[in-house]
Amino acid sequence: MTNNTTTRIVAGLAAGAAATALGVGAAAADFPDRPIDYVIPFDPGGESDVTARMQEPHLEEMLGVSVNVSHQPGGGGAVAWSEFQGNAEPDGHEIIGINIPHIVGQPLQRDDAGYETDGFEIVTWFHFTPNTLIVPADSPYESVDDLVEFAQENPQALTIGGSGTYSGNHLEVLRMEEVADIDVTYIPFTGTGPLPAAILGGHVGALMTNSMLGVQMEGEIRTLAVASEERVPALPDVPTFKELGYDIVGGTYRGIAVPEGTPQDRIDRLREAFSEVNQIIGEEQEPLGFIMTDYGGDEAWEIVDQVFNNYAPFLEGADD
Amino acid sequence: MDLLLAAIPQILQPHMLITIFVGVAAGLLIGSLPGLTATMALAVLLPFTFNMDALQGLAALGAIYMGTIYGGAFTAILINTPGTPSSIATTFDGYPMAKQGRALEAISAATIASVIGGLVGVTALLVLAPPLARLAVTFGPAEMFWVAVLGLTLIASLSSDSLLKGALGGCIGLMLGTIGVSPVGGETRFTFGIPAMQGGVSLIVALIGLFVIPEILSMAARGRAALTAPADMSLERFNFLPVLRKVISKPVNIIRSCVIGQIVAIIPGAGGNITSLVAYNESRRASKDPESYGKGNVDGLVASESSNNVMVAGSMIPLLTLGIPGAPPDAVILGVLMLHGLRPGIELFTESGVLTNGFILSMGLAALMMLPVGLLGGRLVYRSILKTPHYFLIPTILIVTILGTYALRNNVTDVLIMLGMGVAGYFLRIIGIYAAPIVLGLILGTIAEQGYTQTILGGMADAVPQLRLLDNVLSQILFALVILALISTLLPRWLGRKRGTTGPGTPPPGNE
Amino acid sequence: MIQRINSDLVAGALGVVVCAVFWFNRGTLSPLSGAFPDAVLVVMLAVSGALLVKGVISADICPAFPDGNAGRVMAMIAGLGLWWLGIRYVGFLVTSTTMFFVIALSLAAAVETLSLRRALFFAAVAIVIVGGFYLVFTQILYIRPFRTPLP
Repeated sequence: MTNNTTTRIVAGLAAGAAATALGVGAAAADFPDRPIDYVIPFDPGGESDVTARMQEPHLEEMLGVSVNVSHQPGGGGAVAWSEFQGNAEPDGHEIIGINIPHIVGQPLQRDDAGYETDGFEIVTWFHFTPNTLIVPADSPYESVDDLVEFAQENPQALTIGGSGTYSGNHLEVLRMEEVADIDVTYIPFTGTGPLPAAILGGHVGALMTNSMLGVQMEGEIRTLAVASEERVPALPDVPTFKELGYDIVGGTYRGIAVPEGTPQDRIDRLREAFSEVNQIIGEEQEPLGFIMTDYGGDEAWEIVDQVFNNYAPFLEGADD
Repeated sequence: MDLLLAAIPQILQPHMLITIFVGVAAGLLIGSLPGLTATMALAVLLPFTFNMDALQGLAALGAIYMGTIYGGAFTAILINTPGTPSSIATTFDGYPMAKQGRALEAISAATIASVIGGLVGVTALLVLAPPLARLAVTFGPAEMFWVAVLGLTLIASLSSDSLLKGALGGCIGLMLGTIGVSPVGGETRFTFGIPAMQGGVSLIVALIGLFVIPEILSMAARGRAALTAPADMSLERFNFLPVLRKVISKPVNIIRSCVIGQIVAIIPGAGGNITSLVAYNESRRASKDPESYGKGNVDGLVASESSNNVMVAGSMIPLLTLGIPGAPPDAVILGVLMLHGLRPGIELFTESGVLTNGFILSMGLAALMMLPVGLLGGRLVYRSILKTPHYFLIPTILIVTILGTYALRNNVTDVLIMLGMGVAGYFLRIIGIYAAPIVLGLILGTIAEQGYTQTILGGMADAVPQLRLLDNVLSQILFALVILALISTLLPRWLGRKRGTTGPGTPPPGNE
Repeated sequence: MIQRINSDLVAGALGVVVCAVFWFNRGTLSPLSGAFPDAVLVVMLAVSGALLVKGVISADICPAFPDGNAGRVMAMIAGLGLWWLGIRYVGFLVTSTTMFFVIALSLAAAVETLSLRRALFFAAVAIVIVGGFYLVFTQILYIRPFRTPLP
């Protein structure tokens, strides 16, 4: 324990010295001057947590202070986000993981979400996991067309499992119903954890889930399509929905936000650190099925608007 | 087998042994603090394993996991507070034993049971992983619904003085469980307009509130600690061997509890909390003297503690073979596997077999190390609780529970819920509504609701979707078990009432 | 002061009240989210009704304060409330140290006569124990303290 702390301090001093030596700039020199609090609004063990754990040591090296990852799960992230917007200090030392479509969907759909989508300053969206359509290895559906054909002939009979209601997975199924003119039954599960059992046990006909599961379960399942613009590096043989003629692009963006009012130079410093970290952990993350991204500033908000435009009709209709 | 043998020398290196020892001790410490769960212990201590290699890191986490689940028994026995949800049933007999001055006996029995349970789980993981993994995926939504209903029938046997009050407690628990985001449907329910309530009432928050606070209030009212040094101090000097003999003289009890533990462990979504309650209940039903349960019967304690420690290694069967976390803390282990670039699946047992077997063996070692660590630590904790005057003990317990509750989700509203439920729990206890049924409702409500709605959704294209609930053999078997459980607990009660043997005022188990 | 209560009647009435609280805060829910709570509320209302009936026919009478001192229980409950308010709006360390000190002192006052020296000793214990746990949680377990004006 002591050993580890010492290592951290030494690493911190070294990184700090390096940063000063390189002359990163006056503004960056006095930031950060205390440990960074990195809040994960979900349970430990999920994708957000795993990513934060990968980032943690590199961030510490780049920023020269320790980075404390803590979890504040509840309400699909909403508990942490509402507390963050209400209480966090806008000095750049408090950062929180944010997800799309969650931060777009929840305030639209709930009266008591307790936070606003535009109440954050987005530092960066650091990676993207496109939705993927998965069937068991012994499924009769060899392609998306097979599945769509069955669903057209048998309304509601095809069950597609995913994580959560009005989540990225669910919204993608709703969009697929519209694009392919089919009527399927979406079955929500609590998180991604139960999904492998659901598909292997034959409790659902297909899964709409993130690309990581497609990589993780390779061999036991067949991935029919991914909802990204280009193919996922870890799944080179899987076509995109677009290639197959379905205009479906979507998934989960994960990123970092700070409270409104945080000085711009600190946001820039954080973004710089996260993009550098991205290049290092990209080597570990891409094989797992992630697509590394680096959208900050206006680009970050464009992503938010895009998601809003794609899904707002479903979400606003969800009130009744 | 070669892989197993190759793994042994890797595990027996001094730095590994030290890692495991420290892991067990740290886990034990954290587990004995109410509010700090195994999931949290793993998440919090994870960064310390970053500069270890994969095997050492996994061994450390396995040891922490093992230690935490076992550590929960300490506070369960000594202050009637399950340190982790897995030790709810441990309080039922453990605390009465402590009050009778048999705390050290209870701790030793819990230790022995935990070691046996831990070893059984490890053996199952080594030997039975592939076939049991296949069983894990057969539990679909319909089966989960029946498992939850089966669990709810425990309310009937846990409330021996008034079935109606037990049922009311269960309903209160079920309703508390509906607060927050609905599992299917995604709407927020019963948040009373408070954003922080979207997170719902966490089981652990309820557990701490319902078990600790009433005890604190009662101690404050009486002006003394619940545990006082036994009048006959010779009781405190006891021998370990008689306890060991007592525990293993009932092999059927241990075997039954371990089998239950193993089966529940592989059902995804059902954790140690359910395991220990089911094992406790079955032990009581099978006993020749069920009346003595809840009044300090060591068999009940052994059933609870052996079954929940089976779960530690046992729940890793679906995790390592299929990537399905069998219990919440396993999600963290899954994250660690991913951090090290390991993919769950059969390759984990073949290509990375030495590592995997090493990890499994290290958990076995961790189980063995609980014996010295636990007996020593248990004695220490017991002494310090006995020697601390009540006016320091009460605020100290309060500060630990407040910090632990807050730490669970970094949520200050949780602390208010914990205190509120505790105060309510104190008054409910006076009128005969006890914590156990409420907690049971809270645990099982979400599982039952989710299983039911998912099953109905799956049958949307059918004429009668409800028929899907009994669509396959496994759910039919579970349904039969529910009926059987109801008959076997309710029938003797009604017969007894006719003969007038069970009058009112029979103390219920686990609630003094 | 009420000495004995009809526990069946109280439990039944309580069940009805809890049902009402949940029912009037139900709002609009889709059938997917509403079916289960509705079913539980119906069962709960039935159980409460049965308890009320039993309370009239063959009541189970129990002592209202089995632990004796009702005043001390109430004082303790008030203390818990203050403690939370302090953590939420003032500061964890300040409130907890004070509350620890006050609770320990008032509990001890019931069993011994306290001198100033003894009170100082109590204050020291409060600071050491609260401070100790605070340090363990924040420094070793990396728990982020709640943001309040004072520490």
